[in-house]
Amino acid sequence: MVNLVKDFWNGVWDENTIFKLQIGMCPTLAVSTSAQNGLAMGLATTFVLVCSSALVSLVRKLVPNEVRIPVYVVIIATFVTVVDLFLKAAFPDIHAVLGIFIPLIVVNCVILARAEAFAGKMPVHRSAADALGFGIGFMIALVTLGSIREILGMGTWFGMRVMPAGYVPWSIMVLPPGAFITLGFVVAAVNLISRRSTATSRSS
Amino acid sequence: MSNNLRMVIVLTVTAMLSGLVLSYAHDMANTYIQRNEEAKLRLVILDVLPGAEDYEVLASKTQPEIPEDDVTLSEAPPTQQHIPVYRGLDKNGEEVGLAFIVENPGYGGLIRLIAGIDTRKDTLTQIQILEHKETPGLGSKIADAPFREQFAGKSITDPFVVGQDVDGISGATVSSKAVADGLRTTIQEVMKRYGKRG
Repeated sequence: MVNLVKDFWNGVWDENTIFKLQIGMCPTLAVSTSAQNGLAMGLATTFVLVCSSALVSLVRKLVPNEVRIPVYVVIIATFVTVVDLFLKAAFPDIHAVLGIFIPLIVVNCVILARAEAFAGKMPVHRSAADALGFGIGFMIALVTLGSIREILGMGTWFGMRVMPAGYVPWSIMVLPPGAFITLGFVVAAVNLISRRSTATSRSS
Repeated sequence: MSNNLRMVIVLTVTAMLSGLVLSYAHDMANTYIQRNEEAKLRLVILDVLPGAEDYEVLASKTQPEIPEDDVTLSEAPPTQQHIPVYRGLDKNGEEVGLAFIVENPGYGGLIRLIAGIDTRKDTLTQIQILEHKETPGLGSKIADAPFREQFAGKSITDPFVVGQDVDGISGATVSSKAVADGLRTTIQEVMKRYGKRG
């Protein structure tokens, strides 16, 4: 049980894809224009990550070492296509906004990295906990970035107006440069917090 | 040898299972995807035909209506043989105009647009670009208001030639021409088939 919590927390905080590892930046910067887009992308990625990690872990003893990467990629691509079709059928508006970034989840390095580094060696329940942690960590990062950019850039949060009526939106925040600016500040804040917490744990 | 065989079997089974899952998922999603697209189409049709409350499908991609005695069809370019055409109706069920889809290859790929004709005045109501793959910043301007809006109110008997009655976009001659040419040939075709007979 302790192991599972540790596996989960590892992805959420200690090795957070965006804030700590800084991989998978392409979809992050591109779709974090609003909190809703960030949430949708985060959920889609989490679903693919958990399903593919669990399945990779299930078949890990059947797959010969030499062909493991093609098998992993086929598994990941299958789940991504299912998500793509589901979004197109159920949420066409979100699908239109996320567009090309949904099929590109296939090549999001986080997913193959977790399959290769963790799920290919570990039992199913630990792989699922690990994948869930990384997925949620990714989602938190995207929603955080999306929220900041949406609030400052459009004055709304999840489409609801949160800034006073006289607020002039900083349009740059929803444009590509806003992604880099926001990410820089958020990563700095996260580093500050984790440095503080290691300092307190050492001194105590 | 046995290891090679195992690799082949594992890869084959993986690919087959993936294909199976995907075809099943595609079947499930397809009905909803089509319904969404129809709803979207409905909005655009009512948008390009002011005054229309409803519409009826005269011809669509899946049910091309080809008049029995129309041998002149072969004159139209192949992509234009199945023109989806919709008749806009007002509250009393009277025809207010025709909306139709124009498809013409541009610079980067097929340009799909919808245009409306006010059949009482024989003028274009407006056009909307549905899909295009033109160069961003140049050809993509065909979807912008300044280019699109020049077609609103144009008579359907106009020549639709870039440089004459249509202002092209500088740096995007091919894209501008594709829109104008597509409109001209499709309007002629649509009017021949569905214009006021007699």
